[in-house]
Parts: sequence; C-alpha cells; structure tokens
Amino acid sequence: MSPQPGSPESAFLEGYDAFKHEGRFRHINETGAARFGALGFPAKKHEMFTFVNLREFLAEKFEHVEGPEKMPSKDEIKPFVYAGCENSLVVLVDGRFSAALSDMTAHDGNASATELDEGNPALDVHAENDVFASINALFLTGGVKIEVTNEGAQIGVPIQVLHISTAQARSAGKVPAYSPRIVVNLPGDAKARIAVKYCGLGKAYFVNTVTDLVLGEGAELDVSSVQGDPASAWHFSKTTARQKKNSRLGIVGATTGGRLVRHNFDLRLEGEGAALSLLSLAILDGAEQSHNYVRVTHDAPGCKSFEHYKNILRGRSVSSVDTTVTVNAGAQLAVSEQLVNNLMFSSTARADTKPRLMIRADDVKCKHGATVGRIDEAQIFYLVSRGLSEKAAKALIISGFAKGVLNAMPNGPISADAESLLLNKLGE
Amino acid sequence: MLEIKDLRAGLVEGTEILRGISLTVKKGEIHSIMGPNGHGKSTLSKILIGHPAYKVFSGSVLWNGKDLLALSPEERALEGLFLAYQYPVEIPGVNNAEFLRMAYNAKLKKQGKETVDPLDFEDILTAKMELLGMDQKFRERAVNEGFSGGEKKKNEILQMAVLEPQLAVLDEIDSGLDIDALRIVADGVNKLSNSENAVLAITHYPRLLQYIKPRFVHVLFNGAIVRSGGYELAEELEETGYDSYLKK
Repeated sequence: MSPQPGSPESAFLEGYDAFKHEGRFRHINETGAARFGALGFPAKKHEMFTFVNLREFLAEKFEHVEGPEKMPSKDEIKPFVYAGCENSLVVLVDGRFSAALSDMTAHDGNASATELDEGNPALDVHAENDVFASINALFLTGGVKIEVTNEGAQIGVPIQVLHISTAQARSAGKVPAYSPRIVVNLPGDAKARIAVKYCGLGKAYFVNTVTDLVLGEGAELDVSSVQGDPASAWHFSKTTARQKKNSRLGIVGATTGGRLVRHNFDLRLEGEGAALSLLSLAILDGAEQSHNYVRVTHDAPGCKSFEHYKNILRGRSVSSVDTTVTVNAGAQLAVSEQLVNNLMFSSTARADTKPRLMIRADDVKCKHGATVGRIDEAQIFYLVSRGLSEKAAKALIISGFAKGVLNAMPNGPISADAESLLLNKLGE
Repeated sequence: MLEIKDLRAGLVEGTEILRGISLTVKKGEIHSIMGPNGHGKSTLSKILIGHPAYKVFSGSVLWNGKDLLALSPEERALEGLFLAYQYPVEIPGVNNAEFLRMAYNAKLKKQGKETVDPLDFEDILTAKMELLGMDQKFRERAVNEGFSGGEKKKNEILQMAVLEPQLAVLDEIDSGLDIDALRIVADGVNKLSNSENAVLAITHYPRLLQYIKPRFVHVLFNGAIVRSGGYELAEELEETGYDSYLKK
C-alpha cells in the first residue's frame, strides 16, 4: 500500500526510491515498506501513542542515511569508550556497524559481533505493529549480531555497544535519520552484560533503533543503556526480548531526554520461571520529552517481572509511562510489579502514567502503583534538622531518587557516565 | 543550656497545644518529660527543633543565652541541638554514611574546622558504630529505607553519636521497641551522655527511664508541666499510671 500523495507518510518516504534497496535486505525493506504503508503515522488517539505528540516530528524534513561518508578513526571514538571495554566493543556509526572500529578480542572467541544475516529470524517484520520499527526495517541496510558462542559461557567484561551519530546531513535543511539494528543472542546458561551508549557529535539527528534480545534456557543478560543524545535529537527505540525457561533479563535505562525520545519495549517471558526487571530513569529539562511504551507478556508459569520508572521533570518537559503486563492463560504463579515515580519541579512540566494489568490466569500476584509529586517536605526537614542546608538536602534527596535506578548499573565507568550525564543536568 | 519560659505554642493554623511551659536544662543533666498521649509532649520537641507545622504564640526559649526561636532549624542543629524523631523519615537512595558525613562536615564547617573526606569519615563512623555495638549494615543502607522500627531508632542514636549534640531531645525513642532493642538504644544514650551535654527524654512509658535514670522527671498534662520531681516520680507513675491526672 503506497501512502497518499501529500500525506505525512508520503513526505517521510521522499527519497525512498533513491534509497538503495537492491541490497541483500531488499525483502525486509519491502516488507517494512508494506507495514509502514499499512500502519501509517499514528492519529492523535492511537493506543500506542496516547501521550506522544508527533506534530513537530512530522514537520521535520528527514534524510535517510546509511552510514557516514567517512568512518571516524579509533582515536576519534576513544572518548566515548568505557574504560575496560576497549577490547569488548561494538561500534555503530550512523546506524552502520563498523567491524574495523569494533573489537571483541577480550572474549577469546566466547562472544562475537558480526554483520547481521538477512535470514535472521528477528528480522521477520510481517507482524510489526510499531510504525517506527517498520521504518527501521524499511531503511535497513545492515546491522550487527552480538552472540555468545557457547552454552554456559560467562562473559566477564561488559560488551559496550556504542552508537555514534555524526549528524552530517547530505543535503541542506535536512535532518539525517539512522536505522541501527541489533540482535543479541545468548545460548543456554550463558551470562553476559551489555552497556549501550548513544551519543551524537553534531546537533539534530533522528536515531531509530531496533534491538532484539534472545535468551536461551537459564541464560542471564544485563543490559544498561545510557541515552546521551543532545537535546535536539530525535530518538526512537524498540527493544524486544524473548526469554526461555529460567532465564533472567535485567534492563536499566538512563535517559537525558531529547527533542522527542520514545522507548518501546515488547518483552516476552516465554519459558517457565523466566525473570525480568526493567528500571528506567529520565531527567528532563526545557522542552525535552521521554516516553516509555512497555508491553510485558507472561506466557509461562512461575515468571516474574519487575518494572520501576523514575522521572525527574523540570521546565516544560514531558514524560509518559504506558505499561501493560499481560498474564496469559496458563501462566500461573506470575509475580509482577509496576511502579512509576515522578518528581516534578515545575508547574509547566507534564507526566502521564498508565500502568495496566491484563490477567487471564487466576493464581497471580500482580501490583502496580504510581506517584506524582514534589520532594517530600518531611524528608527535607529531616535532613535540615541534622544541619544540612535546604539546598544540600534537596540535592541529596534528588540524587538518592535517581540512584535508586543508577545503582543497578554495573559499577565503574558505566554508572559513572550515567551519573555525570544525568545528575550534572540537575546541578545546572 | 536550655531555658524555656512560659511557652505557649501549637499548630500553625492556631490550635494551642502548649499552655505555658517553663523548664530549665543544664549541662550534664538528664531530664524526662512524661505524660499521656495527646497532651503536648511531641509538640514540645517539634517547637524546639523548629518544625514549620508548629508555631510559638508567646514565651521564650533561650539556648546558651541566645534566642533559640530566632534560629532556623539548620542553625539549631549546627548549634548542637538534636532531635531523635519518634517517626524517623525514610529517604530512599540516600546512603546513610554519605548523609552522616555531610551532616558531620556541616557541623565542622560551622565550627571553622576542616571537613573530612569519605575515607577519614569511615574511621570516625566505624568507631561510633563499635561504641554502640551496631551492625555495619547501617553504613551502606539508604537512610531508614526499609528499616524496622527498632533499626530506625538505632539509626537515630547513631546520628546522635556522630553529631555529638549538646542537647539531645529523644521523642518517644522507646516507642515500638522490644525489650532488647530498648536496652541497646538506652545503652547508647548512656554511653553518649557526659558532663558536657544533656538529654531530654520524652516518653509515655516509664520503662525507658529504668535504663537511662533521669535526675529530673516532669509530667506534661494538658499542655503544661503539672508536676516535677526526681526519678521516684517515674517509679510512682509506673505504679499509678496517668489515671489520677486524667480524672481531675
């Protein structure tokens, strides 16, 4: 289905014909285009975009770019590499995987990062329901597969996935758009940690990522993600997870906001006893926006999911958390928790929260809660009555609020990076 | 050290709770204020620390000759006044040791002394914890978060040990404690009191006083001190309860 001429979809696809879709991902591009045509940009009350206003996004003129004109040198990317991850590094520049800049030698062949195969099952986008993920498929020219090669392998050093956006538009007045695609595969009983970092060298760009996490039986994966794009960047992401029996997935995300940031999580607990935790922190200022749209599905008995979102909002910033836990029939003894805390510092900021449960089993323990408010005066007074100034007391309470999430990141340079990026914002 | 004269005070919106209290506490003294619930014991502690929900209508409170009521809560703390709360507040994510170091350094700064770095403070904190026989877990946990009632009260005493106040006001420090926790908390108070500081223990039950043995006991009833005496007054109340006051 081709978009109507003059529609936002049609404007968005300007240049698509010139796009090199003769490559090996041609079929995926075509399926993506068909899904994009069918889904279209969401109308105002679309269920998946209830709290996301795309008006400014659609007014922007994007240019789809596959990789930079010139790859940066190792020295140029060095400042963004976490200490200790130099030989455990996967680099994507402008959405394009660079084997030359990546280095996985720390793992002695137990983990690898290779160019994504067009036959990878994660690339089946026939049923894609997120319009931005369909755009990712539409413009896909490559991606990276990160794999732990052997069952039971324990990957000690965190694998850093570094997304660099050079923001070099080819034509004047256009904003470059990137479509990185990552598949992470852990076989049975394997254990790994991944530290994702997004950063930009220029001003405005649109990064539209899809990440698929596949966990075998008993596998354990921790993913920490630091979204450090500039305030002018558009950032959309979709993360899917498929978890087999007794696997454990932990995701911790730190978001500094951007023109519009939206994270979509589609996380499935498919095997008995699988466990999931998703922690998220956003610190927003000015007109920055950050939105989480999360669907967690319990498909098997004895699974656990835990979600905790914390947002600190100043200025005219906007955040939303729209999360649904579905417990399907037969997924008995499910345990789930959804918690959203919003700390508001301005009367013009806005926070929407919508935690929901859909339960089709009868023996489950599911709870959800949300708070919106200013700092608790009782907490401030407690600290002041110990001799702290009100300013110091507030700073301590806010950083404590944020650290509830940040402390779940791996110690050292990764949590330090997230802390300095986010907490420094509060000190401004 | 502390001189309360004809203090009338209550809630900010105007309800009078304290109806003319006078009380003098000197260095090296342990005082106890007893009384039934709802007669102004906790209000007195909140007024002394400067809680914004409470207001002084008349009377005066002198602190080492200065007007205490003119000082902000922060200044009162830095001057050496400490309130151990009946319901200590939980502050999620804020590390207990980090908070204690900040409070300790604020006090050093006030005294014109050099502040201590985290490593030096470790030693200070360790020594205080050993003195009180406290579990090292208090160090790394978030301030009062997920603490049991007893742990929260022990944490108040730990803060008192670190900050070394001139006057410690203990507001129902015994409430919610089992007999073992009560002994630990009372032992802590005894170890910390000396000839240079003072304690004002506010309590409903005489049991705490068996351990910290105050020299002065006052009965606070209907917003006023209706009787003062020595430790024997606490023993008498253990026998008779507050009934004789309530029936009047």
